[in-house]
Amino acid sequence: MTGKQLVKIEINGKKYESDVEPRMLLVDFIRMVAKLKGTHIGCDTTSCGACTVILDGKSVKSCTVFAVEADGKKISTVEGLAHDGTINALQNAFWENHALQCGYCTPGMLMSATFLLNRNPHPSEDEIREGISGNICRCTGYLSIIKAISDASKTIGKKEVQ
Amino acid sequence: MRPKSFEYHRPETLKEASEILYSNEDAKALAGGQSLIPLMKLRIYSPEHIVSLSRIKEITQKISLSKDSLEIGAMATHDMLATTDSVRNNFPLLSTAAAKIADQQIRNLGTIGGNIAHGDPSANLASALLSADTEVMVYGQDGKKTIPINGFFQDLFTTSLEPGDIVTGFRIGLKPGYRQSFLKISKSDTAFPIAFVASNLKVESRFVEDARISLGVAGPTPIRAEKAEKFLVKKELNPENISKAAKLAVESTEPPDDIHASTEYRRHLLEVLVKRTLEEISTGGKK
Repeated sequence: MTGKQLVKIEINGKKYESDVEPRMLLVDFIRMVAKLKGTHIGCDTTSCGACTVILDGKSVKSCTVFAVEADGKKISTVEGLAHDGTINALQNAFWENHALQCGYCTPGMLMSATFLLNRNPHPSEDEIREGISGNICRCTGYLSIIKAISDASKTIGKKEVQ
Repeated sequence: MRPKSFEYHRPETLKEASEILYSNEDAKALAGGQSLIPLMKLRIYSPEHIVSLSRIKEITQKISLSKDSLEIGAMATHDMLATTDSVRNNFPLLSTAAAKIADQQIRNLGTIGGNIAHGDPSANLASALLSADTEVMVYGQDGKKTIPINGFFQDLFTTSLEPGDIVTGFRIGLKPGYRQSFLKISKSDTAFPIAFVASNLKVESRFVEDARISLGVAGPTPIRAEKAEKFLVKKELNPENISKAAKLAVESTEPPDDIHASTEYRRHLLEVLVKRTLEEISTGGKK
């Protein structure tokens, strides 16, 4: 099959399907097929984490997954965090703590933090630092992001997003 | 960048996958893709056929413990190795090595099978497995076979796997009384390693009965420090012998030279790391 392949992926509870080239990356499926532009492409070399999404409950860099390999799976992106137009506790903590400046890394940071808090609802500062070590921010110097995740861990319970 | 076009195969049996890999010269198996996809995106490597292992039920993520061995399915992720109790308690060196690979997102996808089949001398897991009696379980054109890890790595990114071979899992022999340490030097805890060492020693009342020391980023393949291992046997694990073993460990190694470290500096780091792992073991280590 050099040709296109039918791929079905559920993103934030909504099903998307399209015939895509096997070389299409998951991030391109999310941005171009599902038209969800919240997931960013930063370095495009598996380093910066701006493209982080939750795939079957695990944080992954969507620039380093082929869309065909995510066929039949469930994904959560940054657009799935808010409910009925209200940002969730983690997003609110980013806002309160000025945990973003240009905002480019923010979707990826939020998804890495979501995975971390789902697994470990009360992480230590070291665990937070480790948890976002796959995400690069060039504005904040990270301290406000670490503070935001720490604050969020105090206000939310488990399972914000799956 | 986006990869070159390729033909995508998603077989459901090992037999079918092996056949596709065997009959197409430029075919590559895809597991977690965390080494392969970056290479394809940079177009350093552009296979014509990609054989996805994701739908083959015979290759699993299962980690099972028996009395004298730990068996790990090739699709087990680095994150699973880092967080599964049976690995942490019985072969702690491997879970430490896995926890220090890249970052959470990469550990969530990268698999032990892909990592070992890739044959990268800077792979934490390769050195970890090399420090134990590990057998690589393989399915190939002649059916199932096992390859001892010692000798599996032949050259840079080159293993003894033959066309059509697929790594299906690992069997790690467990023996009582061994103490372990894994230490790595890199810009941050989880960054690409500049050098690392995995030491696995059997020590009885301060005397070494068996020693396995493997060096990472020390040459074109993961290697064992055989001279140092031989030297240590029946010796007391004291500062003098530790220093001597560390020197012997790096003797005649030719670590790579790159922007992160010169050959000479890397050799120095390896010596320091051997020393520190042995010191850690002498003061307790991880059982």
